Amino acid sequence: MSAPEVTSLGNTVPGARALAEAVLNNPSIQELNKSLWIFSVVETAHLLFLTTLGGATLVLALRVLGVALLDVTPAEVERATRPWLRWATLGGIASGIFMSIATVLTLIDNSSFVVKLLALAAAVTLGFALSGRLRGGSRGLQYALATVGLSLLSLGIWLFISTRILVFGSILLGTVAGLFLLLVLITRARGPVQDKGDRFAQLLAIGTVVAWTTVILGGRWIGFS
Amino acid sequence: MKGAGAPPLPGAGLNRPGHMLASKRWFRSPTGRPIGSRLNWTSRAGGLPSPAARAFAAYQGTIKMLSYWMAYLQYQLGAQPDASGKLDAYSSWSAQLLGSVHWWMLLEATHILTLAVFAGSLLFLDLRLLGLVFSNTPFSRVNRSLLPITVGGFVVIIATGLLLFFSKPFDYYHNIAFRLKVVFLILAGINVFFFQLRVKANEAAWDKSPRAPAAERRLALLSLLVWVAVIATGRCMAYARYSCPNPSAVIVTLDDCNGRDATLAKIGKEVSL
Repeated sequence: MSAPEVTSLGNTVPGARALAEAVLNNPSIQELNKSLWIFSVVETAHLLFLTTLGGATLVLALRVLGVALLDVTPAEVERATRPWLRWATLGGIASGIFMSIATVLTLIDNSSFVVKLLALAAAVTLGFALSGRLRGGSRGLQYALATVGLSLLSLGIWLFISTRILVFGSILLGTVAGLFLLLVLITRARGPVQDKGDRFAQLLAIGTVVAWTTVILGGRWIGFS
Repeated sequence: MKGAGAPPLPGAGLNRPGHMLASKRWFRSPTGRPIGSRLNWTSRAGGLPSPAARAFAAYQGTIKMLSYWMAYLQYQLGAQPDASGKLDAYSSWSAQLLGSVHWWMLLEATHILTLAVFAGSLLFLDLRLLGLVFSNTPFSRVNRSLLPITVGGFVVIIATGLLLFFSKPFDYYHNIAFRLKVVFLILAGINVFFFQLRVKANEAAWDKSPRAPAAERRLALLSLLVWVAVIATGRCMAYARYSCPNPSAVIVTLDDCNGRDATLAKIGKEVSL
């Protein structure tokens, strides 16, 4: 028997398929799946949570990178964006779980879903690390969270790049990440002279932007692949 | 004059038993007459069409013309003739864009990604006006920082949106979700215009206030609601139940599915669909 062409939950996690079938055969879930309007409302809510997340992540990252909102301290921006980030993350995950249930059998064979899960875990972990950094929390915890987050993100990106059917997604991810860094560098160079800032927080900020971008693209490629 | 060869007036024939709206209660007045029959379709002198009838006829003509243009974009622009001498709809530029899997995927993904940048940054501008974030920072400073991101995102989202629209212009045109999205986009544009007018007029007076005056806050709230509506209708465009062909008489009316069929029949003489 040859090795599977794609990495998915179905061929890497024992019992995943049986669990998916049990979920799908549940009478309550089957009843829920019959309602088309609930699904469209949840999908729209998922998109709105994603938009809120995108805005909050970007605003915080740009401040930490010294590009926007220079009149406000990074800690203040973190405090202002925190509730939006947390509620949008919770809402996005809850609506995502609801959407996954309807298509669980196709998702467990989808490598893009694994990319999305890895990137999501990375984004949440890096977000907590950045938040802790700006609030002056435990350094040991920040480094631990950053190590876990960046490892998960690297694994997700590697899977994105190495899976043939997802390669265009990874090209777009590389382009977006490259453009983001370029715009940050240009804006910093053209802006007022400022100190270098907290390099570790900046690394975390870039990590959260790349992680959430991977989550969005991974989610989009679930539909394509 | 209402001669034998004259086209039927708008609203005529709605009482016909076979008409698709004849049995719909919502289309009738309390007295049972179709709503269309309550309009004064002819002037009193000489039976000439009244301004209302002329406006309605012009509206219907525009709707038909747009349907035909969209069909031209989707099926004919760039299409090559097939063996039968008709244009092959699958070779049109629009069909090629939709068929070019990778380009279409890149476009759609960029559109969604930019939505997060554009609407996400706009959210924080509106929240500042509402006094929910950065209330200690003057609005002008927040605006100066975030507006370039919002504008940049808007340019990309409109460019990708237009290209995505070009992949199925005729189908989207006959889709109520798309029509509503366009209405909400126009509303959003009007809102931005009014907002800029108001901001330029008296921003200095409230720039440092923790929250904007009531009128500006109302505009910010309206902006949020309209963009939520744009996103929701944009999502609904993908669902087949809002597009033609459709078993629902309401959707058939809202999407103008009969007009769609008429356009397809017309261009079917020149194009292999």
